[in-house]
Amino acid sequence: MQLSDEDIVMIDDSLQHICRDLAEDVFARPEQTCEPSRFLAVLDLFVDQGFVNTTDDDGCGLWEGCEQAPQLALTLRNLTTIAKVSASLALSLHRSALALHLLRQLGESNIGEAHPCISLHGRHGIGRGELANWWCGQPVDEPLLQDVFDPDRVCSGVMHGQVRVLLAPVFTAGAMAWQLIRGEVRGSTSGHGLDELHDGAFESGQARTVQVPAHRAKALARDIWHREWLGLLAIQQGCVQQMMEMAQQFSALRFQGGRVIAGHPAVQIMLADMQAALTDVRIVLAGQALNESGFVDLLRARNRLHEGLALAANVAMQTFGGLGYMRDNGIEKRWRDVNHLRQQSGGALDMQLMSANWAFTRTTATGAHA
Amino acid sequence: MTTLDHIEGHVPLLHGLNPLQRIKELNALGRALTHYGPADLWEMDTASLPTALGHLRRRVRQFAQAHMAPNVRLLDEAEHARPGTLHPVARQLLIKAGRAGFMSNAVPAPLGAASLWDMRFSPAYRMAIQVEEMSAVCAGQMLLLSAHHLGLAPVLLSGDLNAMWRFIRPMHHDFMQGRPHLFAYAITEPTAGSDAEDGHGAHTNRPRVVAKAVPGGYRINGQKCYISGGDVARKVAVFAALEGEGFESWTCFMLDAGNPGMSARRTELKMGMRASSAAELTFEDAFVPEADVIGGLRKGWALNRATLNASRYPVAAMAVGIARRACELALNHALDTRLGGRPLISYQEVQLQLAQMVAETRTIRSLLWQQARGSQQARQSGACISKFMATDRAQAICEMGMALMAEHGTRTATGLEKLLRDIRLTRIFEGTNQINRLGLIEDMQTQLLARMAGEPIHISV
Repeated sequence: MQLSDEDIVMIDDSLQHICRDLAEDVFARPEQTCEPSRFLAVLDLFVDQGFVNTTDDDGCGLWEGCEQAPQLALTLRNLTTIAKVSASLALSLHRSALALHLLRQLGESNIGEAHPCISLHGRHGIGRGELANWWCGQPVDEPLLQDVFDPDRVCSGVMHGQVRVLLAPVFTAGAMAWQLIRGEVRGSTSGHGLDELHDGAFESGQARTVQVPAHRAKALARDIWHREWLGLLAIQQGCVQQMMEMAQQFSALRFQGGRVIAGHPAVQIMLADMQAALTDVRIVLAGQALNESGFVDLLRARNRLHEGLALAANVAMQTFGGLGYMRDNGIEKRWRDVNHLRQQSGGALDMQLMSANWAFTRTTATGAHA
Repeated sequence: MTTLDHIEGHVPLLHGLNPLQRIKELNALGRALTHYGPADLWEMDTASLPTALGHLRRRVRQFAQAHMAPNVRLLDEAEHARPGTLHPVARQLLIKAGRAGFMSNAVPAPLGAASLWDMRFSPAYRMAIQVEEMSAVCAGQMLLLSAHHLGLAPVLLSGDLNAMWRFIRPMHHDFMQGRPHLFAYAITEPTAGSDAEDGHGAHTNRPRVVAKAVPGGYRINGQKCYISGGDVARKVAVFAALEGEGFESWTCFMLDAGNPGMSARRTELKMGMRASSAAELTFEDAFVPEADVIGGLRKGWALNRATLNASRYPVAAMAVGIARRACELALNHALDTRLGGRPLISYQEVQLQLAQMVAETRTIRSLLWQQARGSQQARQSGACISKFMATDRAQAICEMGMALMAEHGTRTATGLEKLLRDIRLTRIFEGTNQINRLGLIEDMQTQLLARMAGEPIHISV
């Protein structure tokens, strides 16, 4: 579906309206974790409003029509806007929409679940840099990828407690397939951030592997990881943007050393660091289209962008002094969320090797390496 | 269990190219100059300390393992305690630490648990040794035990033997008898955070906790916030300005917890270090007799700054302890996790990450010990440098540990995410790290001004 400018303005307005209400109501108390039933009701609201399209019809939900740059930009902007209110909510919606997108690609869209989820790490990370080798057609450490994406592993991830269908990659015989797992979260274990979500094992009741034709497997996997990394970045951007706005407001009010703290270079530098990190992310996201160079740019830039956002989250907290450390302030929750998100679907060590392997295979292929 | 003879990428221990092996083959003098045993790095550092401090380090480590380690998650995840109440487990810890002498060993006998011989080493140095060991197990429990020493500091630094006898000796006696007798230190005000720790800031601010002279003493009004252990302390060292005067008139008053004019109405919901409370204290005509003024009128600012000069070393030690724990967790994870049929540690990028973490941890410990060793008259620059460098780098070390563990690092059960929550506080309290950086320059001011005035001096660092 091709969206007109008017459609986009209407969607933006509608989302702003919903988010404002949620910020004042459901997520108004950062020190109190949103009740699971209430959280689910909010997810349902977004589905009802079409932000996650659970039907086979074309819509304008997250990750729909993202081959078109305006629609990709809309998805990223929506995730950022939702994350300003709640990163847990944004992540849940992002992964539901991504799972539904994948299901459509696999011809499995009729699963009867409004909130499927997807987990893109394996037993430990995403297999060092081996996915990059596989994507580039270079020799792959197959035992390693098979171990990391073992079909018999206990799948885990960050998800809300009501998830009943989980999609996860599996790697066997040199190919990537997708496991469609029906089950439920095991216990409810908390994590560093994303307080509303479970971070741990997903108990498999029934699992089925959906194979992908060899000629599509690599492109599909790359597309899914690409969208996941973009989504995570957009969500972190929302967290940090909200932190920056809070820090700017606070620093214009708080007196220290005889003037508002925004008048001190120490604080000005911190505010500038936040802006710089957000600018870096904005530039990368703006330049993204779902093509090969967009993917590689993101793969290479991801660690640096995460570092910048983590620094921004840190200085936002620092601006508040002791107040920033307290749970009723809202800064610390977002700080934890940013830390948590940067470990998802490929942490810093894996991304370093992914980037290195990609560069290595390319230079080898062009003969530059020799 | 399989016995391995080498880690991937390194020659086996008995290989002809293993340096430890080959050094053994040198002649006696050569061996004397070069040979070293495979003792772990903690042992090596402990052995490098003067005997008394090495002994202290081992004792505290043993204590922390026995009495703090079993309750790390329990106290971190416990329901927020009402102001003035202690979790029973925390209370037991205080009793055990008191009996072991760890609550009064900043002070020599007969006032405290340290010997006169121990006083060869500054209290800041000894506390730094103690605090690292406790933090390496649980920074929250450490803070519960250590914030108390901050409350004792103005009494000690005042040089007033009478005050020491009246306040410190009963504290020591009570703790040794198994009766917790905590002190707290109250400087921060809702409108004065950094300004309570920086001369220029204080000069431009107006103190809101004020003491009014009345017959026989003073009446204090106002509010203090973020006071570690302030709601459970028996004594609170409260810094207040004299009526109509600025921060220059700050005076330290020792208030008893039973003072009807002092109340702890709330404690903060902190992100980390949850085993220790941070209280908001309200003073409503709280009467303090003249005798309970510490160090004399208008001596509070000096006592405050001298206290911070000493207390920033233990804060740096908190960071070293937390960083060390991050290294230990990451190492264990790398040894216990297998990936592609090999232990995680066999991958070179993992070894590089671990090496960086270990090196940075030992770097900040070296800095701290080197600075703290000369802290009998604790200098502001040394304290500030130790504090901001150690805490900044320790957070980076925790982040490296989390990255090494990938998605496992964010899970509460692994223990690493708690370290990240805990370490974050150390960059904020005892003066934000920005204030500590400026404190370094403030401390160099005499030299800098002389140079600017044209004196032919060479400033070196």
